[in-house]
Amino acid sequence: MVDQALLSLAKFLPEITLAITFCLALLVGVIFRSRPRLSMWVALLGVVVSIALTIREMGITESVFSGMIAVDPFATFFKLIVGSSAIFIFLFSLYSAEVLSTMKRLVEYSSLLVAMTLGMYLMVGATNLLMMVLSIELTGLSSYVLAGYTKEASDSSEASLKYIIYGALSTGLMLYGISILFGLTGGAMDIYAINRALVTSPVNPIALLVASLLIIAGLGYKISAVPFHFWTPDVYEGAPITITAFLSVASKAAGFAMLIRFFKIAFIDSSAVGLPAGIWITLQGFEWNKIIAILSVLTMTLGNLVAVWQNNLKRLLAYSSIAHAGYMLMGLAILSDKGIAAVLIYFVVYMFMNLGAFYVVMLVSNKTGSEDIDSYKGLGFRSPFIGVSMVIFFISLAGLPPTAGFIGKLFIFASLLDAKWIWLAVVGAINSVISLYYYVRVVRNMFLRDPDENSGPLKFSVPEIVLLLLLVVPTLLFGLYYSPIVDFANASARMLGVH
Amino acid sequence: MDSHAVATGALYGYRNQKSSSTNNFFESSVTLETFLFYTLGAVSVGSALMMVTRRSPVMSALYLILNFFALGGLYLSLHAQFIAFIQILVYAGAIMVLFVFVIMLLNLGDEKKLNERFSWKKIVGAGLSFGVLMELIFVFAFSKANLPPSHFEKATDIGTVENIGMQLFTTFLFPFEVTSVLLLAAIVGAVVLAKKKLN
Amino acid sequence: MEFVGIGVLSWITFLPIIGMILILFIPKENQKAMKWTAVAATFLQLVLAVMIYFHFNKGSLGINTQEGMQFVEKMSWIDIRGVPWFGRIHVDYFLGIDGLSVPMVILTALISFIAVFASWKIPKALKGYMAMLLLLDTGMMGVFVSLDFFLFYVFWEVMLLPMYFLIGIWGGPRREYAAIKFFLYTLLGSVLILLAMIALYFSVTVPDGATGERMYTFNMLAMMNPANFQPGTLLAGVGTYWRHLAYIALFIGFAIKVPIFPFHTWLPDAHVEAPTAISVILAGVLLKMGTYGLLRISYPMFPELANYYSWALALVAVINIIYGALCAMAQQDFKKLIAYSSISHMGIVLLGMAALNTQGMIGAVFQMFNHGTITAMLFLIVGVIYDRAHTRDIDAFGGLAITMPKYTGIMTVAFFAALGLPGLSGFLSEAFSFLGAFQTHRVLTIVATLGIVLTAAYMLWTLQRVFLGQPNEKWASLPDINGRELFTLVPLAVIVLVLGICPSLLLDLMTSSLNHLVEVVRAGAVL
Repeated sequence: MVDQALLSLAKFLPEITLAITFCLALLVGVIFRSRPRLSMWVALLGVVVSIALTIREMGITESVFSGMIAVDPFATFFKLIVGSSAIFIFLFSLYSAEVLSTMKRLVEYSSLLVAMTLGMYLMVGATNLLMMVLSIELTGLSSYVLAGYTKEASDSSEASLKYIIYGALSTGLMLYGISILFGLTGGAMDIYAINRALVTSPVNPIALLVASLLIIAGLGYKISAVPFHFWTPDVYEGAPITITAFLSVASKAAGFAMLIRFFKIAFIDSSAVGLPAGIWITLQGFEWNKIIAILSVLTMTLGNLVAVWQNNLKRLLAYSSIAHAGYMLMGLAILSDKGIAAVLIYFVVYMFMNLGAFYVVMLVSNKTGSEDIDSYKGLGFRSPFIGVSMVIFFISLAGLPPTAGFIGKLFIFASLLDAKWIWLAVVGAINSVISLYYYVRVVRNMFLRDPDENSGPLKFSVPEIVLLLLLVVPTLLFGLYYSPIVDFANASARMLGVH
Repeated sequence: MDSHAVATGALYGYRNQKSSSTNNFFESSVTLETFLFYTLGAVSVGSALMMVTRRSPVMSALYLILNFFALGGLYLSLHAQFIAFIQILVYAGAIMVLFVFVIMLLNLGDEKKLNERFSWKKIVGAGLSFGVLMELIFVFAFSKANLPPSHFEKATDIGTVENIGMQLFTTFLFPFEVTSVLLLAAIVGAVVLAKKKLN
Repeated sequence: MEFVGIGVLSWITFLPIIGMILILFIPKENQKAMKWTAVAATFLQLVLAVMIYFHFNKGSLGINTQEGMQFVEKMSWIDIRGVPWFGRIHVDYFLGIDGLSVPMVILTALISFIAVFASWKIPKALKGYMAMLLLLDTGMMGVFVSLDFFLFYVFWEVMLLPMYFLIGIWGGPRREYAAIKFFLYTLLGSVLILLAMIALYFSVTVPDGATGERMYTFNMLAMMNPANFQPGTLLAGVGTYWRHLAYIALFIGFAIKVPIFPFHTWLPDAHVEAPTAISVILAGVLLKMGTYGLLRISYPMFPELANYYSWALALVAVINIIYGALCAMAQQDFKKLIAYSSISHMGIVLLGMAALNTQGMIGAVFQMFNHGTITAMLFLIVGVIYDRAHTRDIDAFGGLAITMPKYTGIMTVAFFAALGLPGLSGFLSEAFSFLGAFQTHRVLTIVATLGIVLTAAYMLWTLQRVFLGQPNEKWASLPDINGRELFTLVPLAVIVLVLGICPSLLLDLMTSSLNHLVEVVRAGAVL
């Protein structure tokens, strides 16, 4: 057993790197107290190394640490998403006035970001209920603190508190669901064992429904699906923009990874034979995909409708991110690998466009100190490059060609129509029209309204512009040539123990 | 019987075959075990209710301690000795002392009049909770949930410290290690939150 | 035809983008350079269009065969393979034109060129304006030349954003409202087209040329062949429930662009608020994209439903004709009047299409071209008077014939062409449409002719109110039309006159293709 654990270590280098980086960032902070930026660089370097090691893992499919964690293409994909967004967040932080104003706590900021990344790395691979809870907790605990990181702002503290309370509640519900499932399956904690137990000896469907609803509550909280989304707008608004961006992309990605893995492995009829390639069916008498479909409709509709009334850009993007979670949930509801691949494609795209939008919000708030929609008046004329970039991100979020966002939506809709879920596709399409309205409200302020009298042009430094280009270029490029991301997503839709 | 199942049972104080009477408790004859179960269960539910409804925080804290003890007793009756003692040592011992300290430091003795109007939120909340409760009762009591038999042959093996230690450092070595990272993150978080006040 | 190894259709589509990029690098102060760059880009585009006109083989059929298409460019753009459960994805960069698209290509090049001159006096942010105008140009041209549905859709959507900005930044007082209304309406239509497109995609497979493996495709021509629809797929079969649904989704998508009656409300707002040049493009080219889409996509891909719904199409056509004319009659605002007359005139296009015979079809496409030129003239004319008087209230004028004689001359040509005076191009296309429709939908066509009377009434009445009668003292000092404005109007007037006398110059290009289109649609009429 110990030998096996040692062997597993070799497949676990990215996580080990992150764990070491976490400690190292703290130590460096303690030793070089006068230079807090140093630990941020250490943390950034650690994440870069972990990504490099993750890339080495591509293609491996293995179970490590006696079935606790899966190292498979699916997990690797999400680790790359989480890791790359962590790198972007560190780079954003280097230019964020908000983060730099609390220089004294930069050490804790960097190390907790690493801890959060580590938690997400574990979330995407967890194949054991215990690991699932532990990794959610590790991610959650770090993010609660980071959300309240800028103490000066009282809404930051409020955000943190709200986040903790909702987080504790949802984890509690999830634990309760897990305990029911544990009992129903005769003490199975491994999700493959759960599936075996459920397939061989069917259990009371109502009990299973209660258990899975409770687990959905916990995971729905992570991906901010309606009705578990209440924390999202307040936390997104109160937290520093860098953290908000990280939560909206990486945290959501990790939550989705866990949700998909859990449902696709534990709750499908793995004994079914004769199905076409890439299609699965639910357990007999327990059509959980209908629950997911309803959740997705609620999530995108509410997210989009409420976003229309928002005047704070962070809140607007919070609701927009809720809506995007709804689009992605559609991909899971249709029970096919095409749907999963579509979700993965969406995540690649979503990472670039959503991080980009938040980055622009951060740059603007650095200069104007405001995230209000009114402070965007005439931005397109005060700083054309920033304005045009924001338009590209928003158009992409709304899903219009020739941007990457269109490709994301295209594949989601395509997988829905392929599975003949027409009504869901229509709901999704109408939602994307609604979403255009509030994105264009911001665009209108940037280009159709004149700037205030006393506001001159905004100037940004070269590195800031380069960083922005790193997000704009993929958003446009993947819209015109999307073979790489589709190939990558296809290769990554494979999970340990399926196929 | 695979080691994995033993491990999970050990950590969670899994029921043994003798106490499988909980499966169909309406039909079973009253043994010492069922008597203990109902007594401790009643105490834990009752103390939890009292804790929530008390006006004085100190009273609440004391009822919470009682609740912890009752739970500890329940664990013990499930042959989870280790968990039972940890429950008492950590929760009733350490955490409760912290609670009482906080209550003392914040001087919450003179409790404020709580706003106890009935709002629609409360009614909805109560209705939902009641619904969930009914659902759970239905599921576990009346639907004759077809629970699989337990993996354990010798009930007294489950919760021994030796067994738990064995599992913790083999099968569950990895979650154990992850917990240490979790705790480190929690400490850093606590420092951040505390430093906030100092600045 | 190739230049530097790149086909003429790619050049004609992407020349404006090149112009746009150049303009973005011109410093802000140098407005002249920007204008002339835009002129150069659109002029070269027009030259290419003229070359296409002369090199076009009038005999080839087009529509549903690649052999019948001309100036074809086909390259693999996206090719995803290797995952069995995912299926093979193949998107081509596939351009080509036939008799249906060539009049539209010429029209687009012509109108874009004129629009640049009509934009000479843009007051603010000229750089952005010209960039957006050229981007819009690329989008329009791309729609008319692409034969791959995916590519078509990308171009279709690329136009939305520039149009939003062009109306929203440089438009009139209610520009924000008009711009967002345009944007949302057309996007709603677009997503319906998108869903229908995906459904088509999953129903049609073609064998791979090299391996014989069947793969999904966005190729429009493949979608027109019923044999390519795989049994059991969503849109396989004839006249099934899903095919009806897809047809209606496509129809609404295109109808919003035309615009057809209940979906038309964005048009008057957009026209009134848009700057002159944009109104010209909107009426001259954008509206045609809706009817072009119906002819290029809905008709040949769903022939049985094109037949089935032809009566309904004729009905909405008549509603468009009469309703548009009545609304136009009630307008005080000159520009709104022309906007509603556009709705009325597009109704004639629809009526010709609904006829499902060669005369009707020729009438429809010819009317698309003629409406493009005539309405462009009308909007330019309104622009001229608005630049001078800063009002568009019809009753505020009177007797302008005395102060602005040259202007009045041009205007008379445009008005008479619009009301369908024999000898001018509008007459011929309307006549063809009505003749065709009369054979298929007798009663409706008779009702629709009422529209001609109404059109004549409001056009003449407007002419009278603006140009005849007592000259208004206030406008006594208005200068007559200037050289630049004449330069934008005269070529259009010449085209209107020439095509009125010698329509075969254009008709010859499209007859064989449209004939073939009618045959294709008729052949699929099993319902």
